Amino acid sequence: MNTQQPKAKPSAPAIEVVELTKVYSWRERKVVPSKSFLRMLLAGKECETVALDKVSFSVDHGEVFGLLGPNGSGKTTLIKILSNLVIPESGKVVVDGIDVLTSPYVAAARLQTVLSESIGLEKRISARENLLLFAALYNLPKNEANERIDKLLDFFGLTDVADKSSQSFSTGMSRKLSVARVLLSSASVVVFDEPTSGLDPGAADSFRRLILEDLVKAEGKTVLIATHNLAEASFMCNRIALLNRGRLLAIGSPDEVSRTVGDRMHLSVTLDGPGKSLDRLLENLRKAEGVLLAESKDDKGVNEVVVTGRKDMDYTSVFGLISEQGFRVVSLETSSPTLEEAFLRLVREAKR
Amino acid sequence: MRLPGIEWGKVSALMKRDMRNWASYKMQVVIAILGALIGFASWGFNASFRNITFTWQSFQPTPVYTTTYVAFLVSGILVSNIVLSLTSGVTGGLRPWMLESILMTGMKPSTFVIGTAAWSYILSVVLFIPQLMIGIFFFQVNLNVNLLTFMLSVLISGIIVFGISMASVGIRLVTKVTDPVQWILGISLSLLSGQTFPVQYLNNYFPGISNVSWLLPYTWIFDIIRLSTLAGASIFDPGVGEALLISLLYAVILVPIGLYCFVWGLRKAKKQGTLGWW
Repeated sequence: MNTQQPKAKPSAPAIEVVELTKVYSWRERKVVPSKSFLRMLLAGKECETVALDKVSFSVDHGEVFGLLGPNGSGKTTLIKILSNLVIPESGKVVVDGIDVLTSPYVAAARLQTVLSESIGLEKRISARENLLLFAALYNLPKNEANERIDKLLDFFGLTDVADKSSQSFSTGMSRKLSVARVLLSSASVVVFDEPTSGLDPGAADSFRRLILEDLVKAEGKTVLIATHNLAEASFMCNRIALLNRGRLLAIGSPDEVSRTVGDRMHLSVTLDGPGKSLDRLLENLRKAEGVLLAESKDDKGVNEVVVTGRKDMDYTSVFGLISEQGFRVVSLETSSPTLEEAFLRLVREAKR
Repeated sequence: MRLPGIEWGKVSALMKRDMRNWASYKMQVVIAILGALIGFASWGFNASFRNITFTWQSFQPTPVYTTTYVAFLVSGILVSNIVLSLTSGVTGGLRPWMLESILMTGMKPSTFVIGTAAWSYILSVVLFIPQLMIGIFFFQVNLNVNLLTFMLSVLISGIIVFGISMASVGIRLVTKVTDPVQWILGISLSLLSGQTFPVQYLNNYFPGISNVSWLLPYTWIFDIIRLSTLAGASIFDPGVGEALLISLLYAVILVPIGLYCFVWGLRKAKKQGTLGWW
């Protein structure tokens, strides 16, 4: 599917977020047993939550950029600000050189979003009618709209159900239709909030390939995805930004972010032989200099010990302790921390 | 504040969406048609039961006209059903699950409001035709229509109601469930604006209250449409021209106020992050 010619890369970044801050005010409603209806009605106090705290980053054209973070980290708020659905307290959001806050109508033509919480489709009307509605809202001429709708329906495998009420669609089909809706526009930046949530593994995989191969490679679009699926982010994104409680903790390629905990290394050792006590070995290993963690994995009678230590530690002592306890080393493997570990560690440290 | 232009292609797309949605509920279609006809007939019976002839005294210096109560009431109900359906059409047409994806396309406020109300308005015009037939042939309503005055009256009334609708939607985006604009105007419509009885009648209970009625835009809508349909008044009649001008003044004031309220409500909902919440 190639509904558009890839565009030359302009000099301005596809997305530029500068010192973005968003604070939500809300009323805390505690259940106060009271005989007075008025008191119950007025109970509670005004509270504030900082959803985004001076977040800055930029996304290049043709890049797949991931926003990672636990629930409530500010990902959806950030996406809604980019889509002009939420107004921030301060900061600047620029899409393709257009300021979203001061020129929302122009910016809307450059960036379109598929939100996770609402599919954004009329359920009582058919897939084709939904696409016709949005084609008109995107100002597409009728002939071009019909042509593109046919192409998109065919591409997403929805041609056979094009005239069926979209109420009868599965989650996967609805999601495909909502992406087809966005692809009708000529937006050069497409944003996905939790793109594969609710999809079965097969559908999720096809969907990821669709984004990478068709949107990014063929159409030359810039894609921003918000997810807490770390494997997905590692697989899809050129760069990621890790958010927690509205603050940007790390930014870079998945490898670079993983290396933010790069002062560590894992050593997995498979043991054999008439060892005295695995528990004693683990206890001694944990006391050894430079060792941060020592765990055992008993996999079908094979003893495997995983030692996590500082990258610059002397592992000779580890082997000495293994030998001391009467074990033999059958195999060993070293590995760097994963993105998941980096994520968990950075979030844990930010909580302190 | 800039008054953005209306994108008619988008209005038409939203109208078609609402029509297809409406038609997809078969029972709703049947009940809406039957309900409109039965409701209208019951008002007609009520009016013919007390069929009296009286002189409608508009706010001076608009001309007076003599009509039967059945004609007065039927015209009042028709106006309510056609013109005022705009307000309920807009608020009823707000779809929380679609609001964000629709607004994300970069739609201008005026386009959104008209587009959301369009189908509801067309439907009431379609339902108006059999109602008018019932009024004329069954309840013997004598119409004396001046087409030019009538068309101008409908146009001005539409603009007034459009302004009110925008204000109503703006407030509804913040309050979510109900809005005081529609509530106050709804009450004033049936109580003070002369929908079902002449506003002067209220003076028997609260002397001078009819002066308050003439401050309400809906009273002027009823007046100019009755003048054009029951009295056959020409726009060149000095009194009618003045009534139209006063109505136009309301329209000119209410549209920017409505737009301001809509933009305020949209901005507040975006600030609170509750645009798609309901």
